[in-house]
Amino acid sequence: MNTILRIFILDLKRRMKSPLAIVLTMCIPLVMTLIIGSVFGRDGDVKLPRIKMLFVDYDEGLAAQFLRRGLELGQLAEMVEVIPVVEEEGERLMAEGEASAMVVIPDSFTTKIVDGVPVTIRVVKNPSESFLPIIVEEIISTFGVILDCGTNTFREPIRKSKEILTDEGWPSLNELQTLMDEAKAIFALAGGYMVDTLLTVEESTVSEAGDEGNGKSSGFNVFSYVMAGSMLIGLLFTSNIMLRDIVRERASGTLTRTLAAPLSIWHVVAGKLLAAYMVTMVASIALLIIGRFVFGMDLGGPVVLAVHLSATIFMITGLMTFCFGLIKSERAAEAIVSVLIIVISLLGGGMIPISQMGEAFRVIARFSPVYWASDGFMKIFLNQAGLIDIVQNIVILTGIGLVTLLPGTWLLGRNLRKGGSK
Amino acid sequence: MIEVSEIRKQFGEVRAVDGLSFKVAEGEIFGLLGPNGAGKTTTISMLSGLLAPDSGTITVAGMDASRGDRRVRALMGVIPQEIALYEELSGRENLHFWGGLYGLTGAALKRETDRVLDMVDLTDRADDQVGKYSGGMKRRINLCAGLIHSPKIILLDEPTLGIDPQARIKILDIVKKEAESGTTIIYTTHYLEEAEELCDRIAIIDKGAIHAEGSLAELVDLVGEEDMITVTGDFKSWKGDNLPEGVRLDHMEEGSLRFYISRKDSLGSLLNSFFGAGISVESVSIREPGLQGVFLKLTGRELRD
Amino acid sequence: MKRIDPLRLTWLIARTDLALTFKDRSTVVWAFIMPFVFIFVFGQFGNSSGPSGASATITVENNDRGPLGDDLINTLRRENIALVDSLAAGADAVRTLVIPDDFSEKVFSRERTAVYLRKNEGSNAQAGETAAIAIARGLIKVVSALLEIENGMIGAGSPYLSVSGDSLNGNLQMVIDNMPAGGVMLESRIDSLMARDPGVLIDSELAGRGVEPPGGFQGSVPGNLVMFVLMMMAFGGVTLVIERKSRVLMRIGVSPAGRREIVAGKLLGRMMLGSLQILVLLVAGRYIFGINLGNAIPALVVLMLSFAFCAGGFSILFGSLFSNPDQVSGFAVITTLAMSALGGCWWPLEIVSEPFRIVAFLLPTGWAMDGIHKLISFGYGFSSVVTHIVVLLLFGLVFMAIAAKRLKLHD
Repeated sequence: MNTILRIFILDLKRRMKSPLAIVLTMCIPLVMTLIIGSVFGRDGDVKLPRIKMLFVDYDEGLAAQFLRRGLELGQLAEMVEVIPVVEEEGERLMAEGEASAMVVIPDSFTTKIVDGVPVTIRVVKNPSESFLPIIVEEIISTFGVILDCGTNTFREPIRKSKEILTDEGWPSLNELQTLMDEAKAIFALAGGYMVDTLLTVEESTVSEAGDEGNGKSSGFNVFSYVMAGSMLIGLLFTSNIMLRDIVRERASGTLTRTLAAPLSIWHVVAGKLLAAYMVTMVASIALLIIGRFVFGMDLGGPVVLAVHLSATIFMITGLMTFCFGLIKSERAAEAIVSVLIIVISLLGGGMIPISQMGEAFRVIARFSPVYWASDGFMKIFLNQAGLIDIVQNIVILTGIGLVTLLPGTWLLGRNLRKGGSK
Repeated sequence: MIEVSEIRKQFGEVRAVDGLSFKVAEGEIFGLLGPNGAGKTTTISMLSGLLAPDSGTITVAGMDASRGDRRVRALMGVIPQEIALYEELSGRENLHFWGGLYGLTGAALKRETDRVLDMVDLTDRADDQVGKYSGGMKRRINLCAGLIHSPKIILLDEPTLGIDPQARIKILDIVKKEAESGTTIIYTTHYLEEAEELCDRIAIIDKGAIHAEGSLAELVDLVGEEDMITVTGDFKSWKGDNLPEGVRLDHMEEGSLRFYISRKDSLGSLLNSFFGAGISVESVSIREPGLQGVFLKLTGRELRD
Repeated sequence: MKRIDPLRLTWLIARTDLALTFKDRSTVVWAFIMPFVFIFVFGQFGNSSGPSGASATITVENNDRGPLGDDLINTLRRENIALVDSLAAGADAVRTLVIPDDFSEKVFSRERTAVYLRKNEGSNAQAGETAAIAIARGLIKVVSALLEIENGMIGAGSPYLSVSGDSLNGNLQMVIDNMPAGGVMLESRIDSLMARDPGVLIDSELAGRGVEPPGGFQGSVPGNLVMFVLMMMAFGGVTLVIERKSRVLMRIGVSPAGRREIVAGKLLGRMMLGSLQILVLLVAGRYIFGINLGNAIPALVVLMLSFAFCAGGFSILFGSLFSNPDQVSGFAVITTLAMSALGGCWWPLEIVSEPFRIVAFLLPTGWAMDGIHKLISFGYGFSSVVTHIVVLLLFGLVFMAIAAKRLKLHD
């Protein structure tokens, strides 16, 4: 036991003397989290810039005015910047990518709507943008529906008004009264929906544990959301650096010298694995402390976090041990292990949230150990999950740890005994 | 062929080279002998144009070499003390690269590659990765890379550092043959035997300055015919007077005395004087005149320090 | 004395640099295999909205006992929204529309009611908004149909619905409750009204000569291309550090190839690798991922070569700034990730705020991505990216100038 401790302490001391590689590795999740958090805001709601919409009006009638004024009201005004232009100017600005979309209201737009003749609004979209032009399209479509429905609803009064206006002579008081009554009735009918908001769409965001909140759940923090996945990349690479040392030592001959001392190969392996576990643990705690105090992350319950962290690092140490049990040279380690880390992180939600992926990827993710770790962290950070909520994650991570650590240790020991290739 | 005049180089507070001057004639092997940190590598770096001297001039084949002139560099073959090769490439690929840098192409490059490979007995292993070579093989291919273009001047910086005796003999042989064919060679080393065996003239360098320069015989003459005797023991009660004839005290420190004796039989008298004074002598060592002695005499310290 | 051509020396150094790169298996994996993995995975990003073609997926939980729930669902279907039955989606529902059991009853009775859109945390925000807007539009259509029916009934003097002054007496529910065929009649009337063709149509087209907006592989190929070229270049700095440590660089420096040839040769070597990467990924993008490369392939090639030059300069800069290979690779990863994210390789710049758009144009990645959009998305020609090319070349020159000044041939 003393021998194992000595090797363990020696490895820790060596790492503390040259911590740069691990510090830089830990910066990867921090930088990713910082950038994504800064770009998208702490609460994760993308603060879209004001959409530039060019507005070409050939109609200059009531309907076009209704559309134009509608776009300049309330929330829409904050969302959209309407820029009136003539079509040539608009075409030029669109060609230069200066706006997200151009809306062209055709000639006789109002007349055709009143007459019930189908009419088309042209929307020219910026091809280099994927989101903002669609928002413009949606807004215009909605206005289209409102205009269409409004015309349908008021069709009778509109028809009668037109008749009155086109007839020769003044309309009778009776005619005007009927018209007013009809319009009043429709306003009375529509008022319920417009003033009393009889019918609404209520939106809510549900966390994966099933909590429901208004908008984002109160604990949502984009930093937690990103860090839950990205810290796994940092921790996998940290463990990789620690275990890569075995290959380096074997090549430089220091391992041969250690093994020449009266100690078992298992002492060496155990000491090194313990050091890898400990350094990865320290790295993760450092990341979490930074997350807590710099990014304001809520780290959830301490017990559940400690258990999940231990299981995660056990899995990471096991997985890396298994990899290095199969690998004999540093070059192979660089070629294979780094790729493996990136692939399992990519597939397991370490880089892109799994919820944003298609169905097939969500199934594949479950085969990546990173998924079970990041999913657990996400539940702890965002949903304040307890041990019961993530028991499946912990069992799976411990299982992967055991399944990889045991054969990995044996393979690593066998490799060291053989001396490996230099 | 090479004329170095009063060159100086300082790195921060450290004066690596401090007013060095020497001349090397065509076809001569000139040795720079000194311990680690004496300024040998800095001197080679300045000669090869890698470092510009802070002051002084270096003339090579009539051209100013202190500014790294491409024409001067083309005349030289530099063999650094490190294995400065691409370990991922084979020996042959490395030689093609280094030969190519000196303007060799096509059939000439191939011919010269085969020539140097044959010269260091590495033809069979030429297509293996250099990373897989033994230390001695790497040294030999390192040498080849500096000789492939048949340079007029060769600068060798400790080319035999840390290799087995066989490989060392091979390298020294090659250097001799190059010199025989008229190549001018500057050879830095801290191995006395190499300097003694190879060099026509030797400069003893320490702390950036040349302390003596000349042929082996000329340098040995500097210490005369005296043997150096070092005696260790307890000399607290020794007064240092009445030294036998032909014995001269050179250096004294606690537990150790250094004498020079001009006659071999004086040693017996010296020891008798110790025994007579009741002094216990632990050891006695004798060193005959040679470069080690010269070095010690000139610098006050052993070459291995 | 034989004259040695500096260009030949530069070419020799470049060629050897490229050969060394290919001796390293990990370089090949990172340069040519990992980009494919990233392109593929990132190409799927945002696909939680549903199958391609549909703008959003909504799982529907229709508990409505009356007809309006179905009417709403039918309008959504016409809106190009992918609808999934809640029983089929199970726990995997990304966003769910819940229509309460008394929805029709309450609407007919003119009582306050709502439909509920539940979105999973982290689900695609854009698809969520699209769904919400589509539902709102659907409700407007339903309400509009009801208003027409109600108005018709008032006009016809229905005993169950009338207006006195500003207030409304009765409602449609009373019609259903009191008329034997009221419900059926109402349902068919709603159906016929909702089946009418829309009076206001929207005709969407793309500006420029492009045909497809970025998204899927069209977005992930350029983004990953820029990121991986930059990453390989930044990592390339490691070889420079290793060569300096092993004194190879010093040895080249004392040969007729001087400092200038070393810098130019190393740059050319990096550029050749970058160009090869660009070629492979563009060809793969076109023929494997089926993306549109625009109408000016030569302009795209020149733009990307300028980026390779700039990234090559970046590589030499990294090699000259650091003295330890671990430092180079660590900083290379961090810088590449940061520059890619901020330059628009990870997400479209349109969705970031103004300060971040400005930041993007302080980085070569931002210029490269913008240039690619001009050529691929807008389908423009060479003249549209001249500024981009010049800026990228300038970035490269600045990197090179700093690198050449700082580059040490030995420690």
